[in-house]
Parts: sequence; structure tokens; C-alpha cells
Amino acid sequence: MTSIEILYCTLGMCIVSYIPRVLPPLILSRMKIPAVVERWLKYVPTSVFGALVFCEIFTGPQGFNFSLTNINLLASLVVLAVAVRTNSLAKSIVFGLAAFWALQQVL
Amino acid sequence: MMRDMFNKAVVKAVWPIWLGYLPLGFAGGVLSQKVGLTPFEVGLMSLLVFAGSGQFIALAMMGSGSSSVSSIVVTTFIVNLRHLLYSSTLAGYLMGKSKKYLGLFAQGITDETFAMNLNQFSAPVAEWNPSRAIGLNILAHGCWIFSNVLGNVVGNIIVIDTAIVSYTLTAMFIGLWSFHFTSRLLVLTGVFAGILALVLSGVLDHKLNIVAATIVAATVGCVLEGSGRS
Repeated sequence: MTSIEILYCTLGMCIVSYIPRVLPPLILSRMKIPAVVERWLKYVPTSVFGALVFCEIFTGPQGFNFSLTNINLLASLVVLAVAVRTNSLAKSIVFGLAAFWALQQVL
Repeated sequence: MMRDMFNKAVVKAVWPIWLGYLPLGFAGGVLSQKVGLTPFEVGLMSLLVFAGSGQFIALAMMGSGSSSVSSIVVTTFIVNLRHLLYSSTLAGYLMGKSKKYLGLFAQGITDETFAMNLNQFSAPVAEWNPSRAIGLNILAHGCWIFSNVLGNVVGNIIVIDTAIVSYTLTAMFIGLWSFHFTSRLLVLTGVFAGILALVLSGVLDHKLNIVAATIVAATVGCVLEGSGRS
């Protein structure tokens, strides 16, 4: 790609990325959000996290990996256990990374 | 305002994002250098686009040589559509803020800043506010630009183990997800969304499976809550 094409690309990407980011706050922060929308939005975070996390854990370079030797899965169980028990994000990440590293050495 | 934008509480919230963005942005920078972007070009892209997956896919398409500008822009639009869900969810915490604030805040919305800001806003001890939220966005964004440029400049010299560092953000998402487990229905909705996203990944490309799974699962959760109440 020529540098002018890269510039066009960057500007185009900027515009199409910005629109979904900016329109909802501009509109929603100036109106009363209907109760049903508010109730729906309550279930968006857990759904987004579930979708992102499952895809990260179970999808590898060779497609799906549901085996018990999936390091992502095993380390994630550690993260989950620490998070639920301690309510600390820092501890969850540190223990998760330690588990990931240890599993990498073993498996 | 400035003092509340960048204080200890903000740094305490942003560090997991830094930990994840440094290697991720670095990897993006390395890729950008291979594709032929200058440090300035990848810096500009990181400033104006600020999207991990979006930039990675765009760079890969640039590298393939056969993609047109318009196809790259359209793909980026689809990949980044999910930000619509994030900005809608966060809007409730930004009621009455100025257009200038919202315009600037919006540029900093990513998977990670959304997750962290939402978590902070909904914490039982309410010490988060819009100033801190935008401060977190700016600090995360700055790290993203820095690591992308760094990867572009020194990518040939340093080699990093991407498997473990990319797991940092997954661990962060799991931790933040678990903090939303305040009812059985919220847990089940999330798990359902996860399974749905995996199933849909076979038919929907470019993260659209995330968007579709979220919309369907959130609707199911919302309807089930309604039926449980009546």
C-alpha cells in the first residue's frame, strides 16, 4: 500500500470506529432511558464478558480446543476461583498468570 | 478536573490494562512494521482508531496486498460495531455531561476500558466519576500508542512470548466478569452468551459473533427476569 492509501485507510477506520462509540452516549445521556432498555442493558456486560472469555479460552490457532490440557481453560479456573474468593482483580490476574506459566512448563 | 483525572485511584484501575496493552500494542507495532508502516503512521492509526482487533485485522489486510481501502474500512466498521454496546451501557453513568466530554470519552472506549470503567462505576463504594473514567481512557490510550510505536521501531530486536502476555487481558476479563455474578440469572446469561458466541463463530466473522451472542443472551436474560417477576 502507498502512504496516501494508508492515510485514507486510517482516516476511514477512524470515522467508522468513532460513530458507534459516540452516538449512544450523545443520544442516551440526554434522554430518560426507558425501563425495559435499562433492564436489557443490565444483562449486556455479563453477556459480552461471557462471549469474549469463552472465545478467548476455547479458540486456538487450530480451531476449538475443549480438551482438559487446554492451558487457557485450566488457568482460567484458577482466575475464577481466586476472583470469587478474594474479590481482588490484582490477585486474580497474578495467580492466573502464575498458573498459566506453571502449566506451560508442565504440559 | 485534571487532578481527579489522573490520580492514584485511576492508576490503580488502569494497571491491568497497561500490562495487557504493552505486549499487545507491541505485537501490533511489529506487524505494522512488517506491513510497511512508518512509526508515525502506526502512531496515528493507534491515536485515531484505538482498537486492538480492528487494527490487527486491518494490518493483516494491508499486508495481503489484495485488499482495497474500502474493504478494510468496512471490515473495521464491522469489527468495531460492538463498541455500540459498550457506549450504550456506559451512557447511564455519563448523564448530563457536555458534548465535548462525551466526544473525547467516546474515542477511548475499548473492550478493556469499558470493562474497567463499568466495574469501577458499579463498585459498592462509589468513588468513580466521569473525570476518572476519561482519565483511565486517556492513560490506556497513551499506553496503546506508545507500545505500538515501540513495537514498530524495535520489533526486530526484541522477541516476546505472546501466549502468556496475551493471557493477561483474558484473566482481567474473567475477574471483571465474575464481579457481575450477583444473581444466578446473570451467571447463566453470561455462560449462555459464551456458548452462543462459540457456536456462532462458525457462521459470523469479524467479532460479529460477539455482538450477536450478546444481543440474544441479554434479551433472553431480560425476558427471563421479567417472567420471573410476574
